[in-house]
Amino acid sequence: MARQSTIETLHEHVVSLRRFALVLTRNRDDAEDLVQETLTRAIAAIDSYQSGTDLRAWLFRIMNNVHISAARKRQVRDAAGATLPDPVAEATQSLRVEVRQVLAALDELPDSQREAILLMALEDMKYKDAAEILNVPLGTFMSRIARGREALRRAMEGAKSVRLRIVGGCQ
Amino acid sequence: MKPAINEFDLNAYVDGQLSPEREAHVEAILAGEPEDRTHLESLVEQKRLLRAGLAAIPAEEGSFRTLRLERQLAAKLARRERPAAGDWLRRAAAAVLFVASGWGGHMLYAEVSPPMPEYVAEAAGAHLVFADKPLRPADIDPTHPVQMASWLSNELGQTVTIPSLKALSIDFVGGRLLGTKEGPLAHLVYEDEVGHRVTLTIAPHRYQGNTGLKLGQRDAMTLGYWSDATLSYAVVAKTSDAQIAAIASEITEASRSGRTAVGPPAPVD
Repeated sequence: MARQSTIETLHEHVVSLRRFALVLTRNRDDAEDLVQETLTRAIAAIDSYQSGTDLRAWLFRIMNNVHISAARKRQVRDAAGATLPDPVAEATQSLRVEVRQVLAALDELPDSQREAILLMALEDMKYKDAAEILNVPLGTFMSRIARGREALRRAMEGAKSVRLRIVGGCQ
Repeated sequence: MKPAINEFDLNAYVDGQLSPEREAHVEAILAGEPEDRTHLESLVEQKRLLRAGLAAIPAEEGSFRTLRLERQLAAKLARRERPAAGDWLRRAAAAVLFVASGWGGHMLYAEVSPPMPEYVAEAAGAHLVFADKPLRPADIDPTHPVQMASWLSNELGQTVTIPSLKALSIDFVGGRLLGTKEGPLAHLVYEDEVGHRVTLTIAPHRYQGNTGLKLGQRDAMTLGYWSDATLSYAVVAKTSDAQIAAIASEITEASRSGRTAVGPPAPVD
């Protein structure tokens, strides 16, 4: 019963972790590394998982920790200037212009706001759990959500007015 | 113009984080503030677009190594959940099923505690409870709720009453003491008007506080289990979750208000 459902949902969580990782790293190899490192650490830290608690939140928390330390290392490597095709941009090529714009705007946000917004868009979870995953106080999390979304909204409005001007210019 | 609803509340509203009261409050303000409504709509639309974008990123396929790690973690989680599945209440419920489903039933639960076949562990428990005393004193009538309650209370070391399920047209039929590896359990049998059996198992527990009703299924039987401050209960019957929940609620209500089962009419000598 409960045991089966945990195992069944694990795959779903892994897919969700990969999606989160893809947006964070914008690189398929880095994202897969991040997922693998998260799973490896989860296996090693299995004793810290309390059964009956939110498995998804536990995995995301591990991934966030892995990401923070990996991001530091990557900064050094990225300085060398390796540019790989961006899987997010590639995948969203065919989508509506507004969808691409909001993803592009998300990419411009500071990491802290981007992660908070991303988590709430990916998963329906309590603010309290999301704040724990990102290891920040609830108030900080809420202000990141509010500030980040406000920035996205402005970016979207800016993009809209540019679009309107282009259309207007054609008439 | 200053918005009537602060940003935190508006975002929390979008994410479904507000209590029903707070949500109603926000909605009441929104009704009179078109500007806030427009703002809200843009936030909702933004989240919707983001979701659509994220869902479009292919993430199903990972590397073979990731899949292997996922399987390893799944196996670890399964192993880890076994002790939890062995928590007291579930084991009590399983002990009931063990009895209810006869000897074949021991296989049901054997997977949960690998070192010893379940029936061997149960045999050890039964020995502890029964070896030094008769199965039931000769002067106790198993169909007599008052006699049973007093004898079972004595054996369990806790005051046990035999709740009346009369309100649901379910009658007390009889009771017995079970010897399990968790110690003695009171096992009460009830019957409805058409002869369907319901069993209630009661055991003292060793922790503080109450737990809510949990439901489970085994071998076409539905079981519900919960605890009050001192005792744990498991109800088993071949019926629906809703029925089990109704019976469980009647039992807690009966225990609270002291409605105990009445026995058959006293024999006339």
